[in-house]
Amino acid sequence: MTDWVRSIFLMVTVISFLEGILPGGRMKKYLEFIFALTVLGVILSPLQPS
Amino acid sequence: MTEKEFLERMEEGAQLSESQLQEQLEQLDLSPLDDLIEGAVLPGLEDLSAAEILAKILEGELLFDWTTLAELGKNLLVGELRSSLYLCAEILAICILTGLLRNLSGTFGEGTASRMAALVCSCTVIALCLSGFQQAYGLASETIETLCSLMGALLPVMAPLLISMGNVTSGSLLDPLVSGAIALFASWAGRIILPLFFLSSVFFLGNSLMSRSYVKRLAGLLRSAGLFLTGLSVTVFTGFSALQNLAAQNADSLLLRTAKYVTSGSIPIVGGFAADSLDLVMQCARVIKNGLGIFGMAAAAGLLVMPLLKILVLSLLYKGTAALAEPLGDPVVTECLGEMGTSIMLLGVVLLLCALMFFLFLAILVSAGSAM
Repeated sequence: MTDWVRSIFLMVTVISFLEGILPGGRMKKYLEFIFALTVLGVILSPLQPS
Repeated sequence: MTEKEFLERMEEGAQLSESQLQEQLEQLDLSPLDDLIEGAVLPGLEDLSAAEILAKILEGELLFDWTTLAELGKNLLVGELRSSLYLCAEILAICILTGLLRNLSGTFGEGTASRMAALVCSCTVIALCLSGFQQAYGLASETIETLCSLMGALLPVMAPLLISMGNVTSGSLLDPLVSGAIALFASWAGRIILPLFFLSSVFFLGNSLMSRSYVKRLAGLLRSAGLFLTGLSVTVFTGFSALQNLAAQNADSLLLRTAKYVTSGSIPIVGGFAADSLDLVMQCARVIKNGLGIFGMAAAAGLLVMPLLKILVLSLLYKGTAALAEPLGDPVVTECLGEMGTSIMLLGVVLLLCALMFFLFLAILVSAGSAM
């Protein structure tokens, strides 16, 4: 449980910094969407069938 | 019988019950309780061992005096506020500096570097908050553990008393079932409920760093799950102890009346006396059991007061600082502090519910034998 929370927190922190550094412009929206998908993936990772 | 003889008989009877009480008191071993009540706030009763406090209760002395209690409560509150105010002042100072920095950098353009700098400043505030949260968390988990071990130490003393009172069924059922339930609750609270609150506050923290909400609902979900589990376990424990007592009471009262009737009827001459002295022993055991119950409640209340007060004051301060930081315009700090304040308040609520659970349990125990 703690590993899951740790990975989510790290992901969210890294993304928040990346969002600040983002160059802006046309690619901004797509990059934000990709970030959102990444966070979603990390949240759902315990449900992985493995 | 003349009046004088009547009074003499009453004297004798009182002395008999006194000596019976003393005998039974000496058989009790209350030493494990002494360590546990060391941290408790019991005005006027410090440095007394558990056995001495019990003797005071049994003599009918008023334990607490309302005015001293109110004084003490006020002093504690003011002391806590004063010590935590320093943290609050630190956080506000950082917020003001950050606001200044942001406004200054705004004149140079909304650059990446300035945004990064603002974020880093907010992170220092978050680090300060976290230390306060860690303090509250440690306090809450420690106190819950102490309360559970207090109950665990009281039970082996209460159970033989219940049995000697004649409540054989409740006495023999009490020890294993209830101490099992208490141990279960203690491990649950420490390993599942409190960590859920901690994890939810971690998510709130992470969320406040972002421009839009990423994991806010997730954090809220974890928090509600923690509260639900607490409420569930409190309800189950209280209902369980009430039911168990009700069930055992009926069986026991029938058993007792039968035993008394048989004793006084079957043994030829001394039957009546034997039954009455049996009654005396049981009444003394009941008085001691009630005294123990009151002692347990007082000890639990004393253990609860300091940590709960600290947690409440901390939570209030965080929320107050969040309100003060709002006009300064830093979204990170405002949201983070507000959510931390709520989390800490909820930790205090869990602590309070745990103590309430034990109060109810002791109250049920104290009222156990009175159906006779």
